[in-house]
Amino acid sequence: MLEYFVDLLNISLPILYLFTIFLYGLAFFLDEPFGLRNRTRFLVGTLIVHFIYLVSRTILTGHPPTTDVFEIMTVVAFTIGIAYIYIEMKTKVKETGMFILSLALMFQVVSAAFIKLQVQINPIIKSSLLGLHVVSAMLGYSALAISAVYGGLYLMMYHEIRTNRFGIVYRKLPDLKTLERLSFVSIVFGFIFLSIVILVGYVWLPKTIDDFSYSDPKLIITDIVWIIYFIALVSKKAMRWTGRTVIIVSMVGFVLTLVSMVAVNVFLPSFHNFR
Amino acid sequence: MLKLTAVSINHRTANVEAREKIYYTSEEIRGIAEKLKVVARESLVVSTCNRTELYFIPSSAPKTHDELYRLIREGKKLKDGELDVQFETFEGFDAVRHLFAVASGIDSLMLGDIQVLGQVKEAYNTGVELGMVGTLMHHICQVALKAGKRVKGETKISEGAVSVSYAAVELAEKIFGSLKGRTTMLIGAGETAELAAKDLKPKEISRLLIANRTLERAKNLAEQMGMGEAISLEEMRARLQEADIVISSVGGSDYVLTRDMVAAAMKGRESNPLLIIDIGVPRNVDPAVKKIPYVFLNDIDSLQLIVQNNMQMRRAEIVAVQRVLDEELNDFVKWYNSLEVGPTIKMLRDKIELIREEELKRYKSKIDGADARILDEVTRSLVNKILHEPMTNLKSAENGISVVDRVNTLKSLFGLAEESHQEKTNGKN
Repeated sequence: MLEYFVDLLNISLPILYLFTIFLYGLAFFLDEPFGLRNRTRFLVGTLIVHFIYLVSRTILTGHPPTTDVFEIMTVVAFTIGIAYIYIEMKTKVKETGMFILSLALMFQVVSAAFIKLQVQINPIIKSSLLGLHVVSAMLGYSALAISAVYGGLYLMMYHEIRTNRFGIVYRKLPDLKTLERLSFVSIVFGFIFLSIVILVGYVWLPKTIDDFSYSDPKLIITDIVWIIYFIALVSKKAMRWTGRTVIIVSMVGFVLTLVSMVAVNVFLPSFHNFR
Repeated sequence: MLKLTAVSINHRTANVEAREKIYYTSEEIRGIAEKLKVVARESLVVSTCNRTELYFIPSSAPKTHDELYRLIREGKKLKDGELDVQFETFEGFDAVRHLFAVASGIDSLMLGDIQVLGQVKEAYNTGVELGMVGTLMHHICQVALKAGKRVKGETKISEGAVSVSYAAVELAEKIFGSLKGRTTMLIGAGETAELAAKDLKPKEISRLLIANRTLERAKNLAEQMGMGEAISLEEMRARLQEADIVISSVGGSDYVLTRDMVAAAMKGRESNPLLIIDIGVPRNVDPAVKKIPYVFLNDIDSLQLIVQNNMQMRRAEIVAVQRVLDEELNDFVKWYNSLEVGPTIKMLRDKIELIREEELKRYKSKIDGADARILDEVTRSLVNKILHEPMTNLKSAENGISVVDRVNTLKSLFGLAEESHQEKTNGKN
């Protein structure tokens, strides 16, 4: 019974995210009153359903949904949604919802298509340090994803003003300073969580895993991503980089994160798999 | 039928010269108030730079539109022929709808003008203070102000800059967010630059540098603005890096700002953006400046494009505004019609009760005390039961028949006397 319920939610969630994005789109492009009134309500509803899904799945499988890339993707989609709604409430800016939530939808669609019910798992998964490692990774990657979207919106707005277009992007998006700040604050959060991920990983993993290797592709990629964000943050302070440069560097970091996440999990062998 | 007439002289019917002549100050409204109170049960005068309007509910005999127009003219002591303009008139609920449209800004010369809501409120306050506004006009004004606030909050009719000078401010805000603490430099002290600076000042810019060929003129503008530092064009080049926003509007064929000058200034700005608005014709700023990172160069065409886009957006909002006004008008009509129902029901009940009592009197001598009491109860109960359904149906507007039509039919069938307006407005509210 619970299995059917989890399956039903798994199928429903991409549809719910899609409809929520549709409402944000209606409000963004057409100022449609139904979209304007209900977009946030639908997002809250979708996130509640997503939370019920994650809890039900955890009860069904006996472990948190963090054992493979597709389980991680649904958690990332959820944390993106939560982070976005926090930003929306904090800044009162609702016009970026369509873009940020599209990212959550992307993760959720891939997850829903390939996720499997994995009941037998490695006992290592029950460690609290692994919990900290994984939760930090979820929050970190979500923050970096949000930062990348705000970065993209900044570049769109920058281009719109520089080319004297003044279309819907100019009218609807927040000012460049706000977009830059949102992107930068997200990078800072992402970087902090990524640092925790690496720190916990390096302290704990060698003691716990027999075939641990510092040359593991997942570790190397994560280190490279961390270094890119470190350069972006230090350069902003030391070399007084602003706006576009920091955003371009952070977006490179995010693309690399995304590519490596898929490549390492799907194509390369790694000890970093807890099934 | 609502006995309200509105006479309007506005930007559609009269040019600015005529509108100036007919414009009423608060003092002048005070002057005409006593005269209006003699002929009007309630009235309201709304006067702004784009309109002068009289809303009028007669105390006895209705006035013709020409008589009302003459009243307005005489209040300004204008003789016949001295102000020969067309005027618009609205009757009944159309007049109410017109006031709603005025308060919402869709009847303004500048579509979506938000100042007009404050002006309607001021007119209402003046009317209340002078005793011109009674129960009905009070309700009309309250709903008009509510409609105006709803339109402002629920639609985008007043959003976006619709003047070139304010478009410059809007553009600066899209780049810098808050303009608090920013430095603005005016190159040349032309009219548009001056207007833009006036619009920028309330945004709490910290400094205003005014560079001009004639230093005296720059000093005069600084004095007029109540802030600013006058500098020469030579000094302007050295101090360019201090500015976040530059508005240039000088004459001459050579570029006042070249690419090298701006590039040099940007070196000292550590990638902080610089907005340059070139409103000079011919252009004051080398277009190659645009290629420098973090420099936003916009000219008069860019600002006009922003204004055009915003106007287009405001025009697209008219439908949404009309929807709000229709909702408010429907509610008002229901409220007004409910005023008709109460007194009509009372009149019908009184009339039937009178008939019942007269009939009972006729048979009083033929029946004894106990039977008389029973007959009284039976007839009373009969009347109540007969009247119950028609009274309930009277209050609803089903089958496409309005409450007013039902009330009028009832009055005509039972020969009920026309109740006075006074009874109506005292009956509710």
